[in-house]
Amino acid sequence: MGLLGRSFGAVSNEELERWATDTGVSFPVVDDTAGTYGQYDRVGASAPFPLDVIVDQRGVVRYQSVGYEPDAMAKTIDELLAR
Amino acid sequence: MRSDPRRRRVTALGAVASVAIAFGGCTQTTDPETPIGPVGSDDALAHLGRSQSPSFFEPTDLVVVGDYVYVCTGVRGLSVHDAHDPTGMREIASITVSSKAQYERCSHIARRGDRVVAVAPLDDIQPVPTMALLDVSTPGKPTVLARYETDISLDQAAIVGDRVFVAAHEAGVVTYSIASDDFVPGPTLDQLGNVLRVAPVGDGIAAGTADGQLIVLDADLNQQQTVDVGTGIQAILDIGADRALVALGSKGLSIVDLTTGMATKPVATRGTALRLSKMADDRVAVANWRDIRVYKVSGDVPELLAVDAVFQADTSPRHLGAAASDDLIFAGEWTGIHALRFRSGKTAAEFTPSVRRVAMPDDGAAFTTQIDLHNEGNASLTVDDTATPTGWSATPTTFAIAPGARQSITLTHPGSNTPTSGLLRFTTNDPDEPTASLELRVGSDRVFVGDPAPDFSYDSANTGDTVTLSALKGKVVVLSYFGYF
Repeated sequence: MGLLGRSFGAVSNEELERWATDTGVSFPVVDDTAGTYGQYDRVGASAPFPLDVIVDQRGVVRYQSVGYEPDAMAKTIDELLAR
Repeated sequence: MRSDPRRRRVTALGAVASVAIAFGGCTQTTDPETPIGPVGSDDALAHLGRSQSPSFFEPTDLVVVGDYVYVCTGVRGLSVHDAHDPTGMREIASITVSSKAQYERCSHIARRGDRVVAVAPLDDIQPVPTMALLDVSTPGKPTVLARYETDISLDQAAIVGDRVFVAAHEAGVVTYSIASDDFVPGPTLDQLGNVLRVAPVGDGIAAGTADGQLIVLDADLNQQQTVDVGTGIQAILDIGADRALVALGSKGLSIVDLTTGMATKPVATRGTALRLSKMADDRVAVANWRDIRVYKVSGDVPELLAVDAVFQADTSPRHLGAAASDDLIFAGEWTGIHALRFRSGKTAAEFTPSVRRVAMPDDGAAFTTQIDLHNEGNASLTVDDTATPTGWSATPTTFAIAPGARQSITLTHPGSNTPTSGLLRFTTNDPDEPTASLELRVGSDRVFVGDPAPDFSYDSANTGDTVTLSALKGKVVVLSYFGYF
């Protein structure tokens, strides 16, 4: 499982790297310069972030939620890994 | 093998985009944008018809003899039904088992070859336990060879070779020879407890007691094995490989290994398992009081394949029997018998793909869309309810689609200026997964669950990698979009 964070706006990769080091994240952090964020449906969401997406082994979106829901995410991941 | 290779399948074709609903699981779809979801079990019971029987009937036990069904009833003795056409069964004869009762009672029936034994037991309106021996070599014209009255409290009978073994409560197992076309008393074995049931198992029989003892006997009544299944035994069935299936009433079903004496933990049937009947391909029909079920019994535990929706639909309790022949099942209820056919065919009602995109007028005006459900299978699809997303309405909401037929559903939305999405839910006669859902997306070309994730390739800021989503196929990937301030 890879975990990928993304940032928005005018942020240099050096700044992001500092942030990643400060916060201790080990997964790749990238800048979403191509704007894939904007392609996801966020109907009904009350805030823009965080948007969490889980992609299955075939490249298909199996979960998406604005607002962090760790239990629901863990359940989805377990189900996908059990396939 | 008599399994039916055909499948139940429903597709829905609409004006905007094609969508398939698989009642029973499409294996492919015409819409390339959404992947195919998992499908469920592969089997179903179709209701063929109901007998034109007397108004009150009370069938308790049935056997199939050729194209006829012999039904033990509580008030009409032994009723013989012509089942050449299972959709139009009719009673052709009613045979008296015991003439001593206020009603003509019969509670158990056993068949081997061209011999049938019917038992009228002792109860409050049947003072003299009686058995009848019938010649059924011409199934439509049975003849009574003998009747036998006794003061022994007879219950269920089993025929092994030319002998009848009868469960006789505290009298244990009593035997009669029928070699001379009459009942000639033979050896008995008591001290077994309250014996309620007997069935042929291997070369001998198994007896079941009210307190849950399964006693395996050879043909000479030598005790081979005793298995404690924990609760009163309602039925016993030899399922081969030295195993027996036992019906345990409200406790469900258990498989007993007759060699080791091990019984599996009972599998609940959500009813009262009362009668068992063997079908083709290691399948067993179970009369479950409130429904008829089919289980596969080749594995370690009984595996549910199908539940009859007609019996489920009516909640009034019934005293059910079941007799199966290959894939045909005959089941009794208070006022008649029903014919059901088991079919191999997917029963998981599911939309594949799971999303339907609907165009939205720019001016916010009301709009409609139509989906056509096409039952491409060979079993009837019943939709009991159609629940629409907020704002939507559907017509019709309840319908049945015969095999090969189509049903159009018109969906209406009062109009909107913002993209929305929601689930259209069908409640179907699928016993295991009764709900099938289709997501409606209005005016949105965004990515939803079920869509391919947009690909990207970025240089990572912190790990030195180039991260390409499509290169991660085969792995589960979590994307967390966050704001950096």
